[in-house]
Amino acid sequence: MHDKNPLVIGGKTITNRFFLGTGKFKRKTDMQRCIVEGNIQVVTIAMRRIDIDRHEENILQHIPDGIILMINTSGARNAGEAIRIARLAKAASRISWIKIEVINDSKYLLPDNYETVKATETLASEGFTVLPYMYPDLYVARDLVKAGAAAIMPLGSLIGSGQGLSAGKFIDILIREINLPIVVDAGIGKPSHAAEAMELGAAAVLANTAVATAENPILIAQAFSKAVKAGRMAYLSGFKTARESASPSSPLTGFLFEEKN
Amino acid sequence: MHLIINGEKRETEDSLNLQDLLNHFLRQEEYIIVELNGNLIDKNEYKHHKLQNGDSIELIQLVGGG
Repeated sequence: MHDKNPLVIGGKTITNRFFLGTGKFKRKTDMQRCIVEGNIQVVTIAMRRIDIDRHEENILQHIPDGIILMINTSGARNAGEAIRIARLAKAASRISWIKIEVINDSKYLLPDNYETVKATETLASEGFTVLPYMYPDLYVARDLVKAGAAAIMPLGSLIGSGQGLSAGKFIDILIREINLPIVVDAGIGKPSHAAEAMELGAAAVLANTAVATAENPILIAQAFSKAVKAGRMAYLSGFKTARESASPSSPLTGFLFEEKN
Repeated sequence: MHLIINGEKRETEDSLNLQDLLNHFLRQEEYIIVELNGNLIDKNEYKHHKLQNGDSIELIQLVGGG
């Protein structure tokens, strides 16, 4: 399929618009196979204090070379903490793609849009490629554009809920009004949700829980990649969406009865 | 001496440098980011940092995340 508008973020051209989160996998080897067999190009990872009594392998050993790594600032409760995580990651690992995730609320895990704008402003000015995770609000999205975001990542629904595009109407507004790639993140529970986001015109979709917790993560990673591609193709086709009334798809026969005048 | 490692008090032998401490607690491939008293320490500099009683060390790694 020729895509006349390939996705470019931070100067990198991305052909697989399905981004994968690497949390919650039972086995790191499964995650690795998802990346390889799902042809994934962009993955998110996170940073955490090492538990020195419980040795855990470095996740980078399971991520093939050439994959674009994006550090998630998960755990940050305000802009300052997100900025600190980003700076540490860059200094230590040279990773400069940052998913800003600032969360204060432990029940709904909703992103704090205000703190997210502040962190975006600082990190973009320091040369990071910043992808803020946000609640889909048009004014905030405009502020994020001004702050220098490279793409905007509105939530589809609550993190890990698998509820799909509860916020779909508002994501649609961002897609129409914001001149940056819109990457739908969070709440994507199955490939049809991802296809739906792409049909709306999203630039990409990020999922984690739905893949990591499937009985066969490799198979669903492939299904997600295909669904995202199908949704993109549908969007590019300029298909017509729902109408209020029926519209025949076959010509009406006409000869079966005389029309009464 | 007492050290604070990732927020927890630990008792170690005296006269250690940062590299000794890392060798003691971790395998090399596990760690990626080391902070000593709030300052990020370059990988090549670990052995030049002699630890003092009460030093605070943060050991951070990259993990799976969404």
